[in-house]
Amino acid sequence: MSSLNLDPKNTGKQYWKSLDELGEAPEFKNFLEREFPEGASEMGTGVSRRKFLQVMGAGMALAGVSGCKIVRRPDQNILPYNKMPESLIPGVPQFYATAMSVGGEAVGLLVESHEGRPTKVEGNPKHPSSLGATGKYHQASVLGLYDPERSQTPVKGGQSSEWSAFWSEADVLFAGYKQNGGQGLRFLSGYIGSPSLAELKAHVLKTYPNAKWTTFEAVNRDAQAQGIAAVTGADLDPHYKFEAAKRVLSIDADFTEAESDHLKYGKAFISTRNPDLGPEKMSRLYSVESLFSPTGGTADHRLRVKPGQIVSVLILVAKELASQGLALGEWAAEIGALSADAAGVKPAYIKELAKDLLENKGTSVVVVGKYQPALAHAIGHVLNVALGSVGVTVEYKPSVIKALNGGSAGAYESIAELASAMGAGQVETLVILDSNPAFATPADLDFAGKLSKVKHVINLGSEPNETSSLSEWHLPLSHFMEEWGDGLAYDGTASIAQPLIQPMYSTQGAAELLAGLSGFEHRKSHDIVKEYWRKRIGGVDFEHKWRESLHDGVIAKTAYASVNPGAVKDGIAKLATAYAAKLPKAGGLEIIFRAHPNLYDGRYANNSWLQELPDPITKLTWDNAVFVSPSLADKIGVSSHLFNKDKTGTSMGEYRNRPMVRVTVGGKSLEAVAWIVPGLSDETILLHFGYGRRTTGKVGTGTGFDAYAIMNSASPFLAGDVKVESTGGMYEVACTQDHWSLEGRPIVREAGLEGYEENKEEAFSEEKWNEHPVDPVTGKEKSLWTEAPASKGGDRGTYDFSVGMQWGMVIDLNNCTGCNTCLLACTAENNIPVVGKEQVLRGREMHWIRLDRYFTGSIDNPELVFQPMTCQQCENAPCEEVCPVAATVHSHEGLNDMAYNRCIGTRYCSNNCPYKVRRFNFFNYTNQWKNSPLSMQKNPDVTVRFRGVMEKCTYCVQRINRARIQFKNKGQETIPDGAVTPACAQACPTDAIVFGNINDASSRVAKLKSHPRNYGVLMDLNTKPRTTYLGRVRNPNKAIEKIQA
Amino acid sequence: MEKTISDVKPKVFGVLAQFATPKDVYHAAEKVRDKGYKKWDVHSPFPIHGIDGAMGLGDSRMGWIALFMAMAGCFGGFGLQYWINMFAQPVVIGGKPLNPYPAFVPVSFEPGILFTAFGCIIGMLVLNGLPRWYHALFTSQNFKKFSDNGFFICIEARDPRFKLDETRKLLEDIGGRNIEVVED
Amino acid sequence: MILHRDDDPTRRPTLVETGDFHEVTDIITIPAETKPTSTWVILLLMSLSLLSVMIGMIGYLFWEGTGVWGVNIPVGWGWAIVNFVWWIGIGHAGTLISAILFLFRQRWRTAINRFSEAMTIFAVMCAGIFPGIHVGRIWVIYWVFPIPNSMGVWPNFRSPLLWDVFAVSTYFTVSLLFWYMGLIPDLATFRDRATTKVRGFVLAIFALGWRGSARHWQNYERAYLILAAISTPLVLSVHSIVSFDFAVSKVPGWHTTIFPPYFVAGAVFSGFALVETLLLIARQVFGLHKVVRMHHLDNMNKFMLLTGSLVGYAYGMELFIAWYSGNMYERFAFYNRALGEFWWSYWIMVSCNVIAPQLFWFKKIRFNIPIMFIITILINIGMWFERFVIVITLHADFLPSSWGYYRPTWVDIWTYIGTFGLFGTFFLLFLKYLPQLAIAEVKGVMPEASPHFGDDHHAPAGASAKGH
Repeated sequence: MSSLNLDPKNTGKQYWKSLDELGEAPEFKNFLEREFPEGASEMGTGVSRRKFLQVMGAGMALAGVSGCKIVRRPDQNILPYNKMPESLIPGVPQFYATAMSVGGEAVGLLVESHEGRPTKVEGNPKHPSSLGATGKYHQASVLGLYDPERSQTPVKGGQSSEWSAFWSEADVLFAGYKQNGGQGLRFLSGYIGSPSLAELKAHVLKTYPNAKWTTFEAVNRDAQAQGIAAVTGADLDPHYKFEAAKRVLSIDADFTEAESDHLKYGKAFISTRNPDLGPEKMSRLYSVESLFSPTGGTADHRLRVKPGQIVSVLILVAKELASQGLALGEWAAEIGALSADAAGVKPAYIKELAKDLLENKGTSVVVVGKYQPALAHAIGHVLNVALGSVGVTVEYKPSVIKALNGGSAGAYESIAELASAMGAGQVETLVILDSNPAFATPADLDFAGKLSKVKHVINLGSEPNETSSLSEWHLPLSHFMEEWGDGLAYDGTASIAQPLIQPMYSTQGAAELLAGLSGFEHRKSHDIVKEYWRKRIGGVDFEHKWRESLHDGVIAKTAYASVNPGAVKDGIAKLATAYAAKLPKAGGLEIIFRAHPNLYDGRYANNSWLQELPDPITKLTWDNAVFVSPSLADKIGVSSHLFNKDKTGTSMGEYRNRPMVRVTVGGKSLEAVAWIVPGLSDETILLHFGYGRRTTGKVGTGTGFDAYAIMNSASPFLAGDVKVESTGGMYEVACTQDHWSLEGRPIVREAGLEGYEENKEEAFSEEKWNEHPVDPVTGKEKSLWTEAPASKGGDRGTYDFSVGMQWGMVIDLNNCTGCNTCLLACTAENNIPVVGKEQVLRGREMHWIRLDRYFTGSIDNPELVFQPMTCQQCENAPCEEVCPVAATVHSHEGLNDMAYNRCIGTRYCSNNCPYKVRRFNFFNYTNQWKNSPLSMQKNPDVTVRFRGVMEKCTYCVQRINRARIQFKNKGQETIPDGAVTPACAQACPTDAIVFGNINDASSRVAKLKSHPRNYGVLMDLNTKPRTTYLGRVRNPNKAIEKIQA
Repeated sequence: MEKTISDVKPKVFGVLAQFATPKDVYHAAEKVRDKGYKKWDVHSPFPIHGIDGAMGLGDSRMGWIALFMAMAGCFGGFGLQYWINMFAQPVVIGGKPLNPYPAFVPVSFEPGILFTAFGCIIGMLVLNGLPRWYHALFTSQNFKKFSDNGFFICIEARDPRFKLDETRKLLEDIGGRNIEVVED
Repeated sequence: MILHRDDDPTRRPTLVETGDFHEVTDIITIPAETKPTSTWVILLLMSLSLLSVMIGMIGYLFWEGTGVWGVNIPVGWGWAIVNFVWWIGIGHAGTLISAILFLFRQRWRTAINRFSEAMTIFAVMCAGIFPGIHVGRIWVIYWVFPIPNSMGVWPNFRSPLLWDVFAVSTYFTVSLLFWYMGLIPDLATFRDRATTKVRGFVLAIFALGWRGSARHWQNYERAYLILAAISTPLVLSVHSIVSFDFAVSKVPGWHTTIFPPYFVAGAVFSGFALVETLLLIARQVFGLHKVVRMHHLDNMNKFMLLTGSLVGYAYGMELFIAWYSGNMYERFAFYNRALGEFWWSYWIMVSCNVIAPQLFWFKKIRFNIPIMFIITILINIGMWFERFVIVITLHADFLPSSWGYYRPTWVDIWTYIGTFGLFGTFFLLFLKYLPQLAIAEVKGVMPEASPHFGDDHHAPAGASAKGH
């Protein structure tokens, strides 16, 4: 692969420059020679999902070259700094503010940097879209930086080349376009979220007036923009204020996970879910959806309808509201005229739902998901206006996307136009900026095929992909941590994205390329960004403002002001006709396409962290699947291979191979593996796009199935006329939790708000939930011993857990939305290796946190609960007493410590762990980092575990000790509350995880421990877990419960 | 084996006589005992029931050795565990006290057994003065039968009552055959 | 030997048909002094090749890591531990036969005790391999021994695994000593029959200069008696401690007080089965019909009937207690054993261990060599599955979210098969080069061995008491 064919001269030198000018020392010269041998770059993401052993073998060979494998001496010379960088204390990480944009929306981040290596991403509390939280993509981005398979040099027709070569060609080519004004010159990019880049775009189009710029994102908010515009006459985005909402109607909106600004929304929404607010204040969420979204899981009432019926339900609600006396203003007639078919939805349900919304007029809100058609967004807006929510629970601001990208045509229209132009041979040169249309476009466009009709394809991208392989020039793109940039949050707040490291390879940013192509005044990203903002916020004290914005990560006072939406008549009628045209005919099988929760539109396919991250609902890793409901599975005759005997989950390994099915949509068909999802509406197929990459790194190639192959640009997210049949073929699927049921065990505890109100102490007590809470005779916990905490530090070594700092954790099940961010944060912080599909299939995933997912209720229409499960740090730890070599023992602060160096790997501790939260290095998994840039991501404060060693959650003990040192230096023996936050708690968008000193009565964790909702899992074993949970409380509508019963 | 002593000036070790059956040797032994010989012995392919009585031997001391070793093993084992958990490595494991004595039973019991076993075999060898490479009786070819079907009585020259002719006569009288003088 | 010699030789059929000590010596020694038969050579070559397979598998495991086995989370233990418990169990019959039957004065034991002691030692060798190699970092396995070290760290004596270390190593050592002690007089016999210098020299070393002195016999018998006496509690303790590996844990289905007796019964059961399997083969190959006689086999079959029924009772009791405890985790664990995804292994276990031995109620079957051979094989299969069923209980414990599945790999399978190579090799060498039966003891229990043989009166009262 050209991208692996490295020339130390232009990769290594810059690479090492970034680490403080280590310069030309001969040691480094020959170090660079050996920096990435071919084999090593394979091991880079050595998790090659198939043939794991073979890759391990390669690792052996490698180790053979570089010395004994078991005694692991460093292979290279290391040198101290020859010039000590200012303000850098070795061992003390530094944090820099920056920002990352996904789909044109920036989220502010703080990046942890160890001796010049960015190692970990945290949220920037000052940033409105982060508020200190991060999402999956942000956590995983740091791995993308060190991906050994990144594009590292310009590549021409498969041959590694030089930038100089590119420029000499480009200058000639574009000189020509200067003459004809850019005839036949086209640009293609995703949503631009950077003002400075937008300015460059304008400059480019000024330089080449005849050139055209196409913007395409497979995942977009066109429908929302269109819908809102149709009824307000302006390009506005709704900004929901869940903190003020008491009744939320979600129309297929996964607003805690997938919608714009979901980090902020999640926090705000969860803040209203605390049952102690009481029935008056606690919010109630109605969720209308066909797939099972994590947000749907948190809903108090989830209405499961076929995709084609969702809008109908919304219409019925609107009509019902009208009939209950809500004035729909100028749209009353239009909505009255709409027809709705929601067969199977009980009218009484709609009545009660509407009643509830109406009763909370002013504090209710309707949220419509981005995959819903414009019509739904329009009606949603109308209802919000009518319910008097505008200004209270929702406000409107100018659309950032529109502001920076302009254009009225939707993404799919634009790409279709470009494709046809290419087909007609009207495109001579196509400049593709950081997007992959050859893969991420519906097959009906045949974009890849038409690329061949384009004379010059210039593709700027971070990895070799389907598009680059069809391009004349593939130019390596800098990672956002390598270049200067800026970005706008969903609410318009601007931030400067500073780099943390010099480009590791000879890469450039999109702005730098455009500047070069259009003869812009500045060429370096730093100058482009800084000069842009000098113009914007200029002034005499610009330097000061600039430094301030860099430090804070946000530019003060740049958020958009909210505006009052106008009202446009008969927008809805138009949308209704457009919608009716695309609506699949009722009764038939329907298929919905969604972006994959981990891989997005496919751009993260080569990120092994995201590949191995279990899908939040199905817990699949390394693959997507054709999701079907249990009843549909029965119908197409695949359930026998999916269900276990008593239908409490998919079969645990009885069948390692799962049945393949052929899905045919409008003539195009795809063969993919089938998987059952309880709660998916019957007669519905859910297929995630983003998997099935044909050309990418070793990690992503060949994983999953390409949904684009059966998508249609006319109606990309919903299609009727679907056929699905079993092919008889089989396929291995790696699932980390295939059991659904709780088996009636008191592990996750739930209560209705009413019941909870009646008797708070009772609701979650051991007595209520446990068969054997305490010893019936003594009434105390069963124990043969006077336990360590009890014996007041008396004889040597027995610890008194009632004095000093005692660490504990509380996880609020009401807050957890199962988003998996904690899992990724933990992976990044604790140097957790990726093991690959083969190993996951064997049940050897290494994640220290499991997001346990259980379905409760009926198999067809269940409810969903999540439970983050990690080491419970039991005071009476079963793992400790069985270790023959005392490798895991207790600390004075109540931690269940794991001494990796002492562990001999009997795995007895794991067997005896009732929570099964210990992980074992069955192979030398960390070998994958050897001789790979991946090793630069590793946290120097955390031991890298060798083969044959048991590992588990440590409560991020390295962070505890960092804080301890920090406060000792200040002469403080105790660490104040909040000074230590484990990676998981820090990343959690909904503050579900609270950590601290349980001996400090004033600490948040201590308060929660005494909360009536507090309970421990498997307390009847008397393990005394230090991690406890706050029981889940739903706030159902009694009337509706009656109807459902 | 004679070679190993070829340079040594021969001197009489004792008189060796063979008997046909356990019964013969048993009764012969009784007679030798009654003659008051002390430094003599019976050699047989297997232990003959009651021969120790017939020879007037005392009781074996094996039992005391075994008892001592058993005690040493048990207390040693428990002591080691107690010392380690109370003094050498006092850490809290599984929230248990430092001295969870029931958990120490197995590793007290097993060393007890182990020590006893060594006591038995080593004690047995020491009491019997084994192993030894050379013994005067090995110079007799006929003696090799002791491990097959031969039953022997050997009266040693060390015995105060030993008179070569008388002793040989005695052995003949009590039915000994293949009588030979074994030289050392 | 005083203790297991019966004062009335006519009360039970005499052990050996011949009355001539020399013939006994010949029967037992000649196989060791003649050229090996071709059958023996072929068997040895087969065993050696299996042994090399085992060594290869262990090398591969050592090089690649524990992951080459099927173990995972939650099933952290797999075939390795199953094989360990199985082999250890088999070993127990040997000690039991030689020690307990000795104490109970079962004269017929002399027909099989040398066999079974040898079998014990080789079985324990096979067993001992697994705890050693099943750990993640094999090269530091010695950390389980309380050796003073620069790390200043000691083992954790609360862990059943550590008890195991002591139990198994003690067991191996004691069995070896017991066996060797029994061998000394017989080695002397070999020594004295030696025709070549080298053979004589080597045997002379191992015979320790034994010369059958009555004074020596006295100490020897006492020592042997004490060894037998301590081996009996030892054998019970060892398998109890092995069962603690499971019983002391918190895992539902493991956390059971019935385990120690139930494991011991199972061990004796499987041990007797394998002794008989081997005995039947050796009897055929070396023509030992004169000494290994039908009523010996009959006794063993009765023993298997007894222990098999004990094991069956334990299975039933487990189920009852699981239900009676009212503990949902326990209940599920046993429901899952019988009807869960590994139901087949449970029912193989039941049919082989409980149903098959019941055939021994019929005298015809107890005296039918082919059928008893098949049943002993079945019992060994069944007892392997018993351990498999127990270990595999791990796949579904407390939290349904962590439930998993277990599948062995080819390495698991070949390592297990390989251990038969180890066992076979040593056992064949033993059969060829050492006395297969205890010569001195066999002679000792012949009527002709009595100093009162042919008398009308018996030994003076107290003679046997004197020898206790």
